[in-house]
Amino acid sequence: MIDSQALAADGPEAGRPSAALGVVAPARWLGVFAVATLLIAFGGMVAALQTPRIGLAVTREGTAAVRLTGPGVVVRAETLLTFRAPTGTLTFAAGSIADDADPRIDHARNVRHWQRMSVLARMLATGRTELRFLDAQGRPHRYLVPAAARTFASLSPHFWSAWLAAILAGLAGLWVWTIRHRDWSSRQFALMSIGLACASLPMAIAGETPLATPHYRWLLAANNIGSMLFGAGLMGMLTRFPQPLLSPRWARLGLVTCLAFAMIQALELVGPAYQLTGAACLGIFAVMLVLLLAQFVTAAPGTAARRAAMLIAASTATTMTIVIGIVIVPIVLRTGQVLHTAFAFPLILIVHLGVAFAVTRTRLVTFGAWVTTATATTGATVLVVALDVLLVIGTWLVAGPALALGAATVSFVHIGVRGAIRRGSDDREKARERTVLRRITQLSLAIDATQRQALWTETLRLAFAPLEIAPDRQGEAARAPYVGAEGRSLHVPQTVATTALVLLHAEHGFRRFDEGDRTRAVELCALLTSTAQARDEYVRGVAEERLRIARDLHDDVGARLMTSLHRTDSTAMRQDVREAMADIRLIVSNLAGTTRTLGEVMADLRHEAATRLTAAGIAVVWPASQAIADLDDPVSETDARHLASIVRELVTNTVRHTQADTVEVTVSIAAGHLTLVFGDNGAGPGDAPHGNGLGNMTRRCEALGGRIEFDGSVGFQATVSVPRQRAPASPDAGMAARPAGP
Amino acid sequence: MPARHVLIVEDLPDTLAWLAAVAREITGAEPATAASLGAARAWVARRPAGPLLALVDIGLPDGSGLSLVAELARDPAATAVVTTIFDDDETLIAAFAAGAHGYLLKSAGRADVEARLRALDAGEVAISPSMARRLLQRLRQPPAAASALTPREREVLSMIGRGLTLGEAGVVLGISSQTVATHVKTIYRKLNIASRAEAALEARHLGLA
Repeated sequence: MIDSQALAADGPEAGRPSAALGVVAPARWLGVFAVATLLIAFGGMVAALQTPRIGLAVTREGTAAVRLTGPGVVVRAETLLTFRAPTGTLTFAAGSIADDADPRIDHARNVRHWQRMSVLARMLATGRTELRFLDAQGRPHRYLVPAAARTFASLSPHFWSAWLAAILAGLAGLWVWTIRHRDWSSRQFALMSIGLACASLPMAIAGETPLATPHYRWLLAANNIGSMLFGAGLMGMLTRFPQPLLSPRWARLGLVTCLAFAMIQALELVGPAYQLTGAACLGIFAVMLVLLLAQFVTAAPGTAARRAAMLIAASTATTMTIVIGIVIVPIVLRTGQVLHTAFAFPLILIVHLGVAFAVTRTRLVTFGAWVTTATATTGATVLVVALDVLLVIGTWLVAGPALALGAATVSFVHIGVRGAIRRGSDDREKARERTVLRRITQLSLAIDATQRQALWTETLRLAFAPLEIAPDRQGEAARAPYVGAEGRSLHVPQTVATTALVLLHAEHGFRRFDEGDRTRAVELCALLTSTAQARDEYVRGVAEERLRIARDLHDDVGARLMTSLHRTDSTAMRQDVREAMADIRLIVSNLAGTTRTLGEVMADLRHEAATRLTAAGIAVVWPASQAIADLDDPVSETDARHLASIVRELVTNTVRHTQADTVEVTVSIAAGHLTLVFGDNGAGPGDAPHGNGLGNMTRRCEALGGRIEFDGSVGFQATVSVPRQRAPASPDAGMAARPAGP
Repeated sequence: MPARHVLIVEDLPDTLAWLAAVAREITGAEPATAASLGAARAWVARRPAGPLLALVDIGLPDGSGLSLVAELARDPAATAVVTTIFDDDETLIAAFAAGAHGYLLKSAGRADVEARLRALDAGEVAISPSMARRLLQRLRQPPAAASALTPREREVLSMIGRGLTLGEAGVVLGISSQTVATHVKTIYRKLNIASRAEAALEARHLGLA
């Protein structure tokens, strides 16, 4: 059935760059996003570097005591610590900052704590802060808190792990978003990744100085927003992946709600903001569980949807466990931290990537081939830019602006100019290549031998620019090109089109021939041989076609006209001429060149036979099955003509020589054969075809590689069986099988 | 046969004579003849009133007969039938696209020609599976809305494409074979519209119209 609407919905569109991103190529967007992410990450590193490295840490020792690392003393939790700096004085109990800076339920306490950290940070930044306290024995201590500038090397491992996690998460999310902007699940995944990056980076910065992080409140707010985005993204994904459960409106609602919560917490619009955040987290968790359960339940067991749901469930559970184990449990149990908070993020990232894996495995995001190229190109570009930036920064830090400027000039200007020069010479190279290819094409089409030789010589001259090209006497036996006389000569053997040649002194005598030249010569010879062969095949095809037309004209038209020449009856002569014209019509129609499928050939045969039989008043029973009509093996016009002739002959026989009033035809496909059973209910037994008819049909069947059987017991029946796939017949096969002359 | 004028346009004199004899016998009236496109146009320009049946040869010395067919197609009282040596799909599709109502094989016998003309009058229409397939393809993306195929027409064409005759297609669809024939004629008309629309677009492209 020819159905013009039957185009796969996903066919040519799958994996194509999203039109939504507009005219700018997606690879460029990828680059922009990557560079933006790196810049933000860089900014985060700079921010972390601004935090002072203080030689003082306050950690819990048991329930009532606190260790002051730096002075190296253990004091009671109630001991008052007094910090004195040029900017001011600050006093508070040791125990109150021994705990993690994480927020508590008491909002007022949180605010005090954060303000204290900011003030402390400012004081410590001056570098002249003095700490005074009374130890357990009541002795006064004075300790100058060293605050060194933070250097690159002093950034702790947990900074790096959280920082890298942020970069990777951000890049992963943006990459997926660039590729499938329109896809729901990939958008949610991108949201989750950005959320993770947003949550991870502030904690990386804050983790460096637990005691005195400036602007901790805003870092915490960013962390909260990130977490909310992550949660919203996960919920959003679960509403529609692996199976659509809810309309996108719900996910958007969820996102807006989460962001609202984050905003409220950040701006402290409602008093107990942290409780609100806690409630929001619990709410998200609950919704997630419900959705996960719903996905699990609605997916049939064993399907990809259920597998995806299980993977997401597993990864979500793991993430939650990590978060709870590392962050929340120590707070609740008031023990020291098992693992620094910042380490939690890489673990979460791994889990997050696990979700990505689950999602790609179930064909969430289908990539076109262009994605790999775009990513590789972008990756390379970003690497180059990153290297340049590192170079500049490195030299700046080491030796000051002058050298940095010098490095930048070298990197951008000098190398750029050199690159442009190289490109210029590359273009010339490419132009030469194009001319070489053009010459080879002309060569393969050239008929004249001298012309071929001249073109080949010119091609070699263009490719290698030798000082001299001469016929090669000594290398005539060689099959492949080789370099001789220590690189002074390159011997090119004879090919299908040309004689052996020897080239002397490559590149106008500037260098010797090397392995690269030899390989090039091998490629050129191979190219020449393959194009010459293609040309020969084409010529052969044309010759075969001519032969076929000549044969058809001779056998069919010539035979008929010969028959008509000596007819005495002019009506019969006219009939012969008509039939000869019919033959010519067939030959002409074959030349049209459209290949028909087997189904189409059978349909055409059916129509013709049915029309002729019905016109003769004979009933036709020929079931036209869809299965036969759908056969799409291509049939050569010669084979089609043979088949048509056979059927035509059978119909003619029935119309002219039998008194049948019904014809039954059955066409079936079995075991690689097409079987056609043609039967009529003729008057008497033995109504076999007359004259040449039987011989013709048998001959044609043989030409098709099949056979025909006649059965004259009840009416007349012919069974034609031809194989569906067969090797192309040689052009002479028909000739040999033909009886000599009409 | 209904009374009407007959015009035969044919450049081979013997064939022209033969066709004229056949037309004379069938219609009982003397047919007008023209041996070239120019002569035919001149006759059509001052033709007598009343219905006209034109048998037009495609290969005329001063142009293609199809242009005359196209001109006659705009005249509702004229029926143009193309006479041709070969009935390959290309020629026939071109003929129907130009607005022909049917075609005759010049090599057919007298009885066949008479039968064909009577069939044309009776409302029958000629179509083969390969023509049906081509029509489906050709009218898949119609240039004019008026030449878009209805789903019924698509069904008819796909059945004929599978090898069913008009009668059999009617049986399957539950309609009479005349209705099927009418569908096919409508399809040919749409082909004509489509080809005229394409020609107009082409002319606009070339800045001619």
